[in-house]
Amino acid sequence: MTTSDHDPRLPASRPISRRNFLSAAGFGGMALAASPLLAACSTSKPGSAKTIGSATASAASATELKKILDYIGPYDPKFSGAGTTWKLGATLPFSGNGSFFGKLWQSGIDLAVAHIKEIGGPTIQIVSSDNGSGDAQKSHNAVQQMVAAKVPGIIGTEALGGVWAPLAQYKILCLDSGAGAPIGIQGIPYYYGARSAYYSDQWVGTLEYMKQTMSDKKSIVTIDNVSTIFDPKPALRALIPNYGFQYKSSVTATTGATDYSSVIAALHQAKPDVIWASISQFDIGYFMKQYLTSGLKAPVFAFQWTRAARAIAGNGYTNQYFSTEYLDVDKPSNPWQDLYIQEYKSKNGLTPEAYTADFYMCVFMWWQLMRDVLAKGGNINRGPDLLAALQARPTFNTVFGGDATTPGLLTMDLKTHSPSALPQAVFQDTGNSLKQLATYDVGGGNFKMG
Amino acid sequence: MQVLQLTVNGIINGSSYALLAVGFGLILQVTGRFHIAYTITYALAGYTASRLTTDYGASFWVALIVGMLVATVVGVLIEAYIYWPLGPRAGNFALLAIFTAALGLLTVGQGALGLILINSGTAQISGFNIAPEQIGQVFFINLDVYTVIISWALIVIVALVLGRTRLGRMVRAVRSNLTMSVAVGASPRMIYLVIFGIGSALGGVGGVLTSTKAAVASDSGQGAILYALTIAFLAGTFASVIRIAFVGLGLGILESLANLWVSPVWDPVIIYGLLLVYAALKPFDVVSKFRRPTLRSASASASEMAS
Repeated sequence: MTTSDHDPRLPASRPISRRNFLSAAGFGGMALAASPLLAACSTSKPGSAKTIGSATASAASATELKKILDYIGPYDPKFSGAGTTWKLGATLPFSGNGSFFGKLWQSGIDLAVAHIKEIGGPTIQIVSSDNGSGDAQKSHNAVQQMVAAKVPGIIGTEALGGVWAPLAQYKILCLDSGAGAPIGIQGIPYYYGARSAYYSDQWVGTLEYMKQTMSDKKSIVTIDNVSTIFDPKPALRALIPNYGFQYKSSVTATTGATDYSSVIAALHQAKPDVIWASISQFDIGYFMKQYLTSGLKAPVFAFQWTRAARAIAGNGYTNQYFSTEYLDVDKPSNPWQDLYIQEYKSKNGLTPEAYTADFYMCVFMWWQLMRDVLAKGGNINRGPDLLAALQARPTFNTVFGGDATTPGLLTMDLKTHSPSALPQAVFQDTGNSLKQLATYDVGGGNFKMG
Repeated sequence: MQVLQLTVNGIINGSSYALLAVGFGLILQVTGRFHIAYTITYALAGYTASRLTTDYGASFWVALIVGMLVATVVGVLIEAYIYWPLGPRAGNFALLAIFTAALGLLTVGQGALGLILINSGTAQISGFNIAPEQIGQVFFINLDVYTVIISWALIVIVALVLGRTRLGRMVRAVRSNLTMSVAVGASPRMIYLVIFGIGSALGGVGGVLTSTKAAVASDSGQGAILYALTIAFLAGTFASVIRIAFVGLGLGILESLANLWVSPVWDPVIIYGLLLVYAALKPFDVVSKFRRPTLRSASASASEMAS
């Protein structure tokens, strides 16, 4: 037998040497080690500090960008933080099934950092860390990295993977732009939702829209993932009849699933008039793609619209309904939103979406807190000072909603730690654009058709 | 009626599982390698088909064939330049070293594909007009029909090649006793390459078909490969191609029918639970799958080949 014909399953004809073993093991080890490195290349090097603002040039002129100042509310320029380098943390999903979204959200953060610097704010240094798409261990490590980096605040996502205790322990303020602060995790010290609470904030506004436009429809079947935070079904079951609909049943789908044949079989069995799909990220795209050819005709209401999921679904998204923060890229509702859309397109070559704007907005919220702390003579590198600023002025101007002269408002409920006001909309995917059908505030207030 | 719908769903999914399990199982049976980097060839085939159909306007069927060929070539290259040279160098630790290399390839491949798809997250395969089909109250899509037909056609072809040709006899000889197979004129290295080619081709076809139904993502095939591994175990690592395929089909139907009582979220629990039960109830059988074959069985195969 030649060397090349040696059976790898059989013992070697010569004793294994330490060198041979190490070289064999080393190969696998190197390969394993290379993967995270590659993954890291695709992100902002999780775990390492990175100055984003100074590296990014803005496409709009400084004069144009300064218009943002008209929309963020009056402040004393001497407390703008200009000339200061301020370090903040961001725990984003750079690995796991949400890793694509980590990169996307980082683009919203990057743009805000660049804008803030150009209009006379501080240089914000973002220390990014990977939360593994909500993985508890990785989230824990990410928060520990924030502690080690001594950041006073974190832009959080994925409900921080359930790792909330260190926030109060180390007095680090967290504003979560990924999932907000939904029922079940509200009121946690130092943890605040910086967007609508994932799904529950849209329930009332969506049901009100359905009540006004779909009187011929009665039964609703929901599609959910298993939530480690709270089970929405009991609350939804109680709420839905108040709007004249019947909660028929619920189908639980596996998070990250790509095959929805079992879910669709259950829908065929249930024959609902309306499908209420509380699944997100790529999952909703895969579901809609398969729903299109399922033979079912019931309208679907979903609570997140992303370009990436739309690309998967293709025509499966056409004519379906969405209810969440809304960015009308063809007809911006206020000039700040218009500027954001143009700037995002210019920098990223992509049409922005509301989910990314949540992260853009979050950085501006942090800047407001910084200015307020400085105005009171506090320390911007202390979490308690930032928290006190949030409690003293819990209202922030946002790119969402508003009109030609006034931006929309995000008001933080200091009891629930979730927004009590933030513009939302029911909109329809028409195939080549999104059409706004109704607007409302989180929780369903200020509902208006059109 | 739901039973019928779920049975049809199970046949469709089970056919996909069967195709992958045969590809993965062949590699496992003949070479003894836990080639979990099979996922990479699976995803690469889908990605190739996506680029060809969306960027170059290739027809779906051309893309399917090219995707399969790319998977085949990559699978063969992995065996030729990574696994095979690693075996002798690792000696007693060959199984572990090759598994570690496969794990490394998997993570590197997924990381690289993640970089390629960084701006879109997924890639789509176009050129196939997915259309709904209905028989009575049972719903499926035209792609499902093709998936079932293509999967079983390939499985039967592979079974015939392995069962009725000289190549098949050589494969069986190498699988049974590598040393003796050399004595009767087989080239284990060539057989390994052929098996990696066939296995990867099957995975490539599965990758293109499944990605057309869903999309290509950096982790495409990750769940499927674990199902394939489970099926290969349940069938037995010396099982025939047809037996592996039917175990895959059965598992697909069982998984689907289980949704009569439990939510789809329990599907992986059922599949891996079965593996666990199998392993717990037949521990000695599982262990024996990875023992070297007995002299008697090896002699029988070698005699068969020599005749």
